[in-house]
Amino acid sequence: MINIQQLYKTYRTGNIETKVLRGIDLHIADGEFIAIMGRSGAGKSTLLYQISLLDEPTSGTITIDNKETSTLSNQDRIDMRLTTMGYIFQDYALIPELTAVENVMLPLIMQGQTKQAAYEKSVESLSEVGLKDKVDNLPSQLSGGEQQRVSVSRAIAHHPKILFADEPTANLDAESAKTVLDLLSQLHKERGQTTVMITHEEEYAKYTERIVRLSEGIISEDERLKK
Amino acid sequence: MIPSNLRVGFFLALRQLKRSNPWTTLLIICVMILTFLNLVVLSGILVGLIEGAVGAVREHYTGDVIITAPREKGFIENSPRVIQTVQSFPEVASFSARYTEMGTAEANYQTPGRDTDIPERVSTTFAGIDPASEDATTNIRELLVEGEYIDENDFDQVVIGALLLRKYLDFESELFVTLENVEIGDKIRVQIGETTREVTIKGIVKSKVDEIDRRIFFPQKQFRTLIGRNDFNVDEIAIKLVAGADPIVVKGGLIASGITADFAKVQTFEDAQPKFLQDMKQTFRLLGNIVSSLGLVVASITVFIVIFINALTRRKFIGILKGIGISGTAIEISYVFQSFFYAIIGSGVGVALVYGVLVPYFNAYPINFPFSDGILVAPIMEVMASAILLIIITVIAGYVPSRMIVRKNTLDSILGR
Repeated sequence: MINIQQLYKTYRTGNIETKVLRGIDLHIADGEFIAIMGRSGAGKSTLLYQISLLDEPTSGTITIDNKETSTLSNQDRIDMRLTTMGYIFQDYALIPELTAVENVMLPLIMQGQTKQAAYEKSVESLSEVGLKDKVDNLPSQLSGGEQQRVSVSRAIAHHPKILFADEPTANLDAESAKTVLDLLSQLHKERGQTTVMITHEEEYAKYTERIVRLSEGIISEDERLKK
Repeated sequence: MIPSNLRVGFFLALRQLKRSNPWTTLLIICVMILTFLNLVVLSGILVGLIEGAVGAVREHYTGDVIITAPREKGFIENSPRVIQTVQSFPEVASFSARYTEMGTAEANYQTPGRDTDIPERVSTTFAGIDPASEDATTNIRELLVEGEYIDENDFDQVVIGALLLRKYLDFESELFVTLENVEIGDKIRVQIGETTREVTIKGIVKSKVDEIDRRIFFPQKQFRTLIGRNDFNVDEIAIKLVAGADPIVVKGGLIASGITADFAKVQTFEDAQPKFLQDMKQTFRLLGNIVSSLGLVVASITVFIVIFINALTRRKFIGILKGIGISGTAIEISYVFQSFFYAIIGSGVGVALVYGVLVPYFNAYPINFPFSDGILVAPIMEVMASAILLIIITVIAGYVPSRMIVRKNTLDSILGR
């Protein structure tokens, strides 16, 4: 499904060059639930941004669904993000002036669904994450855990093939974090989508099937968990 | 099927407008309203200032159509026949046939002075009018500021224009000779041709039309005798038309009826306008346009700044929207819709204010300029053109900054880099 070869990412600020990824080779199979771990600055988020097409690598190749991503046009990348991928950000990243259901509806309308169909699907998706009663709440009227569940709902409403989660529990208390991870785990079991999650917590990484550890821009360990 | 970009753009715009700070929205709309008024009202008043002067000349002097003597002739030949023709037109509501003659008026001549004193004398135009017809045509009676109006049987009684009297003139000029210490009931000595008479001031008229304010009006009956005009040939005929009648049509009709250039000149009130008035109208329109253009630039900069700041503070969310697959075009469209909304509401309220409040107000209470009663001229086509112009400029001013922000790198926007 996702094949990464010799991936390098270097940032330049003036004359200063920062090599963040230094030759990553990684294969993620269809339906795999994978955790990427590592210390701060190890390159976890940078790797996720490259795979999720939010950024472009300095060199190397990423192949998703047999498509070499460097050959995609900007519009193709946007389309792929819209239809094939789902995103859960660390800080929920909800649009403040949209209600929970509207936040979820937006990508569905962009995909061409009617407003009514998008609404129904969004309510269904919010129900799946236990927020049926709060569909009309604005993000400011929801707790952090609830906002992250809206974010999950938005990411999965269109049934993406790949789900990216960038430290989805970083801003949550233990109880809310567990709720979100249970949710991701359950969704993975039910839908079988490929899920790539960044986390700092060993405890949370155990929800996945495989842990890839990064250190100074390279993969230092690739461990498959026995379930 | 409406494209997704448009639907998402509208979806976002509507919610951003609905849930944005109402004071910010109100402020932007106020800027739009003021800009629109600046566009329409300023040039409208500048043009209205001249239009007021033109209107006054039309109302109090020329009427809608005026027939005058050709330059080379002293009077309108065959005036009775011309008057008969004028009367035959159903569009004619009333008319005033006037005899005019140049002459002098002298005041305070009874007070003994030194031999070297220059007599207090003004050159002016005398008009012999039928008081009733003149009033019906030019509402001269309402221009009386002192005394009474003349009657057709009055003898040696006149109505004098205010600009011939020192007390009504705000300035002193060697070129603008006036009569001093002349009050109602005082006698002045007039000389028309070889005839000299002593007449009593019965009334004083004051308008903002020099032709009225520098004239002395006699009842027609006496005036004809005074100037020895026994053939009933008059010098000018001011014609007032019924409401809705077109002066151009009537002018054409009069000419077609035989009132040709050989013995009379037929003009609409517009033809009879002095050229300087027409030039000033164009000049003021130009000035109004220049000032309005500056207003338009200020408005577009205001909208640009507002949308730019809005988009900049929302840059992270714009990045997220792009990140989850919302196209940049849809986000830009949302800002275009918002700008369009501001412009439509601003222009709409502006149009309502112009036609619902300002035009009726200035018609009822014209601005008292020294030479005209200024009104607000706001032709519907020009007002609509201003509204459309404001909408286009605002939409562009909203689109450009949103595009600048939307084009930034998605990840940089999300991470606030």
